[in-house]
Amino acid sequence: MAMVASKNHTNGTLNPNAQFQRPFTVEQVMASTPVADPLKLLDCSPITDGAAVVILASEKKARELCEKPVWINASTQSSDTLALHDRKSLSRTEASIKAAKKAYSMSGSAPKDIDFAEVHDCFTIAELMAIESLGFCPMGGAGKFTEDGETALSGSKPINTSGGLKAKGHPVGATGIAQAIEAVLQIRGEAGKRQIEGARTGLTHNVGGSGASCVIHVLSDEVRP
Amino acid sequence: MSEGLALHWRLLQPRYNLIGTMCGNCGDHFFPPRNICPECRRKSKIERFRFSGRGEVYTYTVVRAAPTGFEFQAPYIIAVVALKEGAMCTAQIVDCLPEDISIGMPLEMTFRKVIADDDAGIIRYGYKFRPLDALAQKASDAAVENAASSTKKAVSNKKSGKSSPKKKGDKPKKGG
Repeated sequence: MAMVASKNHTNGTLNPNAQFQRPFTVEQVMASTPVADPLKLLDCSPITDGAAVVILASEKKARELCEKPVWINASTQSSDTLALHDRKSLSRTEASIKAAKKAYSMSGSAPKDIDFAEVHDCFTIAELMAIESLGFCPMGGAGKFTEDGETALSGSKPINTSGGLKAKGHPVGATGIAQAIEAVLQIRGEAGKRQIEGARTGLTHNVGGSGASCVIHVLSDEVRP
Repeated sequence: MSEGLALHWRLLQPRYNLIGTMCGNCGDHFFPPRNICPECRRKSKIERFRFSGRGEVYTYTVVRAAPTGFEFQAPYIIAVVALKEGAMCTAQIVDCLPEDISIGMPLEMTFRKVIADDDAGIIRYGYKFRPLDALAQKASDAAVENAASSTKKAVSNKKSGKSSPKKKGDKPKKGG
């Protein structure tokens, strides 16, 4: 979990719009103030003021107005019980799993086709659960996947290139749109120092109510399927 | 953390007496109470059900940075409690140090002050849980067994009698 925080803060240093633009080491995360076991202060996303906007248009209008439109290939939502104690398992987020399944089928893609993702890392554990739910790694394998550096900018599946909620900030109402903006920048090749080479398809994963509802979008530089 | 008085008032039964519901169709128990069984839906037969208050720690955390109104209690334990009858609820664990809590620890419900609105505001009471000490557990297990065997006797007596009126055996529980 500390590696998630450290990685996202590192990405945040490359994002001029991030709330926190300083790096933290794993040791610093581990040594930060405890909040609720096992989460430390630096495992938690901050309280942020912010705004974000995207312009939506029909396919025809988008082609007319924009040189590099980014296409929404999937937009799905799913829900689960709000109370954690009503869930069948605490180690799975059913809403994310279902929304992901729908998103992959709607966009005719699979986890391997996703070049990068912005996931809802409201707490570091949430990023680990998200990448498992999205099928980027096997259930229970997120820790190792992160330790191996696969989710870093240079990894096979960069996660939260913007710095995520952790470093970019979490202005609750604007967070989902901010994720879409990062995806647009990456797909257009305009993400500056944190640009992933050859990024064409990205996924955004936004969550509310401790995983009770989840919205997933698949964005790409071509209309699919 | 200001919650309407009316809401608190409506929730007194679950909060004071751990009263939930059960589905007579499938036997599932619900806490807080549900009016419809999510499995049986229109076939659900919802009945009022008072939980025994016994259960165990399913999972827990120790809150060290407490929300407004709870600062003076930190660090304190919040757990998901698996009630003996099957439902789960989230509650504070008291009479237990954070270093002593463990998953699977047997618990019993206890009635406590939860929060006071302000100096002149209403005081909200409700359920919390505490570790069930071994001695008390033995005694109460014995009591439960006694009660069960005596009702069994009563039932078998009845059965040996002429007819057994088919009534659902919702025996009143002694004590609580």
